Amino acid sequence: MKFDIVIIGGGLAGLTAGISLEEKGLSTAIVSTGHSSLHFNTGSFGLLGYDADRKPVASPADAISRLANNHPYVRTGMASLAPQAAQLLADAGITMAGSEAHNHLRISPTGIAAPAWLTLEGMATVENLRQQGVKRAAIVGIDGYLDFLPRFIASTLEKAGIAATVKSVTTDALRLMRKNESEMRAANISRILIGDRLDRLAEAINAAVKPGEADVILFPAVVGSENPDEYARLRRMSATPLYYCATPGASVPGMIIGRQLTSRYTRLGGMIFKGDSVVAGQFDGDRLTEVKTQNLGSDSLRADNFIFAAGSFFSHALEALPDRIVEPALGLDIDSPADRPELFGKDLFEPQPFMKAGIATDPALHAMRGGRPVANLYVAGAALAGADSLSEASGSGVAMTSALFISNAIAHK
Amino acid sequence: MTMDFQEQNISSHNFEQCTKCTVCTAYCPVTAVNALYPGPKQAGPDGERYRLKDPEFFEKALKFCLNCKRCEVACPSGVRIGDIILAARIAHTKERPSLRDTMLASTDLMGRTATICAPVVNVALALRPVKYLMDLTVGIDSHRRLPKYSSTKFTTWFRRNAAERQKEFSRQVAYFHGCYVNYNYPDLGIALVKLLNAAGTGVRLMEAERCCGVAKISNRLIDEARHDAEINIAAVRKALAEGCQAVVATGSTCCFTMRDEYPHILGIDNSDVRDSITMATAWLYRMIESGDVKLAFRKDFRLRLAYHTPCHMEKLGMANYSIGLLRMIPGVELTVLDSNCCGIAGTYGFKKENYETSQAIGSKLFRQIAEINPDFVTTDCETCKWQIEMSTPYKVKNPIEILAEAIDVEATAKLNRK
Repeated sequence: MKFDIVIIGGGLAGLTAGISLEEKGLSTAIVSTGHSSLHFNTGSFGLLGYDADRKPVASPADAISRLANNHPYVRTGMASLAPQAAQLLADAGITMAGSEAHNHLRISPTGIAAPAWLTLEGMATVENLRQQGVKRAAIVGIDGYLDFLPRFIASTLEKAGIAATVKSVTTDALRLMRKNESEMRAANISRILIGDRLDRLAEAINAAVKPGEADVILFPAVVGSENPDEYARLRRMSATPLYYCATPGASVPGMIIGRQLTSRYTRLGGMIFKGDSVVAGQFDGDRLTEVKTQNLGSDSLRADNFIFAAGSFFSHALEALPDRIVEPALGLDIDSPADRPELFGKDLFEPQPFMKAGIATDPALHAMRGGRPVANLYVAGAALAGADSLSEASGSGVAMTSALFISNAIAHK
Repeated sequence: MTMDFQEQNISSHNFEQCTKCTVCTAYCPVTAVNALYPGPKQAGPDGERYRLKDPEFFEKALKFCLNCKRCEVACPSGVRIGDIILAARIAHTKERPSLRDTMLASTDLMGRTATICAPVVNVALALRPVKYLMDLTVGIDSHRRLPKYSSTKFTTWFRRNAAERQKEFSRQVAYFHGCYVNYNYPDLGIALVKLLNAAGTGVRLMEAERCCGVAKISNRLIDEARHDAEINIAAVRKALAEGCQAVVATGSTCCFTMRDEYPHILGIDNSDVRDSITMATAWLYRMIESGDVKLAFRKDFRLRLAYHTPCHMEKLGMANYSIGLLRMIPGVELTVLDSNCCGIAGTYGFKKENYETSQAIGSKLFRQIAEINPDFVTTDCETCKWQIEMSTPYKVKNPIEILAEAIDVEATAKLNRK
């Protein structure tokens, strides 16, 4: 099949590129190996949360000048692209608050206050609790749901001057779920909590926290993966203002964002090859002409331009062999900060050098192959070398801004 | 040495690649509606760890799996979760398949018998007392309308009306019609012959086609399924050796079963022919794209359609071909429905114990169809067609039927005459 652009990878980078290119009237397809890391996103996006010394960054826009030369932000000039990214999310029906000029503090699944760029409406952040003048919070969990850590959240709130009480609720439907208690995870709970069963949950929450007892309720984000309207509906039914707290994956706010982006993309006319993987490419001189996938067999996907947005090690886009790192599908060059023995830090909790390994690119983000840039193949997102998404809290920002940088470049070709 | 060990230590169905991320369970159609089913992660790779130690850990709830493979499409790590569950069910279920399951699975035998006296059988199967009796005695849910049998088999029609003129075409494909087209819905096969002939392509039948085996596999009649599969793969090889460009199917489950369940579940090596077994829509799309086939459409053709992606079409990765073809028809306004399981899953939804689960799974799809209110629903799977027609007021057509109606036959034939 033939398209203007074929995008390898259906995560945040791939969807951002796809939506942006479809908006420009180009025909695109996305090849996606299973569901993406958006399923592990807690509802907050990071642009640049920490600097090289692991100090929290107040303004990501101001901190770019201190990044290394091969960092994707230095190449793309992130600050002008970040507002474009926020607009793309808004156009897809995703309401997120925040700005590239000032980080805010999200509350992580382990209760830590951590710097963030954008946070989904309805999620608790330190700022929105402060703005509401919250003095007393009720943290409400669910019986048998073990991924929620209310005491950790309480200790963070206490540091911000907010007193917290901890409660737990249940309903008949949630009680029935405990038959398979090990599977009582956020994404699975949210599939049960729809329609009448969500009404029953709201009643249980309202019975547990009487009006006036607390200024705000904090509840795990376990509502809305089937139907995002339910996410807002529980908040409306709660007698006390209710905010959601992030949970470990599969995470409902990330799934809501993914679902909205996917639906925006397909409505614009984009085609997704789901559960399929690119296994090889055909090159002609300095151009990639087509890619082969697992499902399409002898047929191939042909395009004028390609974007490699397949992620990093976790998604198998990069593979670590005993002696080197490789990109197995297309044989692209790797930019690695060190040789294999030095790729690992001795302390697990310190930044790991291998996180900065990725596909080598030229300044325009063309992939390098055999030491030369491929003229019509670009690299976006976690596959790029030079950023450590984990220690910098920059994964979502790199994904979106690099995708937009490439989409703008292709449109101007 | 270390690498050698890593490379050779590959477990069946990519089992060891599971990172326990739970994404599969988040997309399982059954877990959302049946609290007794522990979900694909637990039933598949998690449970398998225990079963490898001791089959006593086999969990009876595995029978609730639909074998829709949506877990596999969702998995970011390439684990064949559905295969793990199906293989465990086959290996560890102690009871023999019941009379009901054997009946439901024997689509060929039932079809051959029923078409002989189709009018009597159709009337009888629709009678309330008969339905009650089947519900009580064998456990086929009385809410179900069993699909009607045709009085003339597709193969009979083909031999009488079409076989002779197929020789006029230099380009040939073999058609795997499947049980449904042969015994219940010959019109779809007739539409395919009309469409491909207009497209300058001759259609031939396979030598001794058997049921693809999906119903036997899911009802654990494995030796019987393997026997049929071997005959089918031999017939595929023969057709290709005799010059057919491909073996095309109009049912996505038949196609999926022959491509993937044969090697993964039945242990039959089909690697030499797998790529040549394809959906008719995929083959036609490629021929149009390469310029080998041209279609001319009727000017007066207008339809509002909603395309439903069958689970196995999703797994095959071929839905985009059907969607792409439907979008080529100038008078068609096409909505692609959210990809959700319809709930029938072949023989699953006909079983009394699964009826409620089956309808609850489909409810999201039925609601969306009602919201769109199309002239027709279109889909590549026959059991999806039954389920949607049983559960909504909408008629369902295969994309091949829509295309056969939409083309100007004379003009198309002229474009493709060599």
